[in-house]
Amino acid sequence: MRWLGELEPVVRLRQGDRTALNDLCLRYADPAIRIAFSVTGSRALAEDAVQEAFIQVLRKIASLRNPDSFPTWFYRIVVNAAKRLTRNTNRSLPFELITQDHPDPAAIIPDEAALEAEEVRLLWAAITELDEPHRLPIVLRYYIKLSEHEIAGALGIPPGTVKSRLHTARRLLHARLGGTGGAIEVKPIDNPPGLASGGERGVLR
Amino acid sequence: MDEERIERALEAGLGSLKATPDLLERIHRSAELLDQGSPVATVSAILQGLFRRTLHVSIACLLLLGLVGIGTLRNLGSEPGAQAPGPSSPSAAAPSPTAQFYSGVTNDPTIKIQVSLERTGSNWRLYAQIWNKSDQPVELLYECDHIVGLNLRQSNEGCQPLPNLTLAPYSKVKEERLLPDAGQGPPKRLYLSYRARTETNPEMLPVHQGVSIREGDCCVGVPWSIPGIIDFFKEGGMTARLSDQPLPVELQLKEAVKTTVMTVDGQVTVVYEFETSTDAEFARLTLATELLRTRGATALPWTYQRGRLLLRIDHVGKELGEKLMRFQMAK
Repeated sequence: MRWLGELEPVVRLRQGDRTALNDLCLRYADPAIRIAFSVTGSRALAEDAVQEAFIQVLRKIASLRNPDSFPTWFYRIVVNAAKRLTRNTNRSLPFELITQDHPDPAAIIPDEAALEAEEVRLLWAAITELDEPHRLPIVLRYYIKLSEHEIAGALGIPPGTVKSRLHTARRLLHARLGGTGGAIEVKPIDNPPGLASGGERGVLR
Repeated sequence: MDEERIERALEAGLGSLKATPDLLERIHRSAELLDQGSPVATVSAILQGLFRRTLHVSIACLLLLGLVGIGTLRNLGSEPGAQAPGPSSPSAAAPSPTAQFYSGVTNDPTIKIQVSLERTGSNWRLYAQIWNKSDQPVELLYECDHIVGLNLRQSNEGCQPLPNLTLAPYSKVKEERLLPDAGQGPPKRLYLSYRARTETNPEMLPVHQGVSIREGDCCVGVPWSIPGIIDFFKEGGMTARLSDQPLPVELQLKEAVKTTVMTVDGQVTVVYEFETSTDAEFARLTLATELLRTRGATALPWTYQRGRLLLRIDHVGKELGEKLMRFQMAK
């Protein structure tokens, strides 16, 4: 069950109040663009996908029976739009590096912070190297904070498949990071068969 | 712990991605267009079937005209040289017979364009007129070729060609055509095309003119004389006119600061990077990119940040891409 305030703009939009679009944009545009970027790897394509998704929302909002399911419904539209755009461009470029608006000059970073930053960087790199069927559930689960059930709805796949993909994705991340020379220990939730156990993964030096 | 690390990595990778004001504006603008033009899908489908993929793009410029819903049409007042409604009488079912749209802004400040649309029975009557700055009909300097297309859908979607909708030669300044009306409102956007010969550009250059298109709205121009891009419009021909000529002055842009060509699996992506200084220029280029989408660029996202507009053309085709690459290398 969602907070009532979250539903209010959805209800208003269904009733024909187009001003509700603004509220929905404010709430959902940011996560939408991150999801779209996770599919496309391109900010520009992601923006196009989000724009297209909101237009689809306007066109199809009447078909949404349960306002409570709006996020899942909307994210599914976003994902589909992003996939379509990616497919149309036959894009196989690597992920764009999204720079911070105010990049840290990094002039003086304590050792620990630097190590952690490197961990994060390597892990993000590993996530971008996942194929999309495994990358998307990771983003939706750990960043958008959807439940496995909601991810299933957003991706149009069974919950069991979501669970399996999350498991595999974590395993792949673990394996890839383990193969970098032992930089980061990412403990898999389940110890995957055929892979070394978490064990001594070493520490970033 | 593991989840926390993943969350931190995702935050690091995605956290700075936010919906820009540009994107929000695009969404709202699309929504407005959707509101205005939602009934025209049927018309669009009909015209798609009629005129699919027969663009005469070898001509030069595009004039983008938008049309609003029939129920909200109102006469914006007469402009110099405005013509009386056409011979056909509006049908009884057509409550608002005439709407006029006027653009005082094009990429060429020496002209202005008025396009009028009226309901005449089962058709929409369209006529366009062009004046020079002194409100005199333009005669010698402009040669109008074709109305290239009609876009009945929302901004990012395709333009449907209207090869039979032809503007008169420069000796005439007015031409009118009838568009079929499917009974669901007027067409939403119209693309006109003509070549222009100006005092500063004595050659018959393809200069894209655009007007925006809302009732009472002043319009934005869609200038397209950007070297290397303009001939991209020539579908099928792929004869890129590669030139390092500076951008036309009316574009009021600084020179392209960067051109990047990348090839991935035989497909080419071209990135033009401009610096712009005003919102108006940005708006023009925004519309221009939308037009380019209709010319076979299967994806043409643009971004605009910190005064810099990145215009990307995907899938220009291998042949043109190679030319562009050679062009880039030669620069």
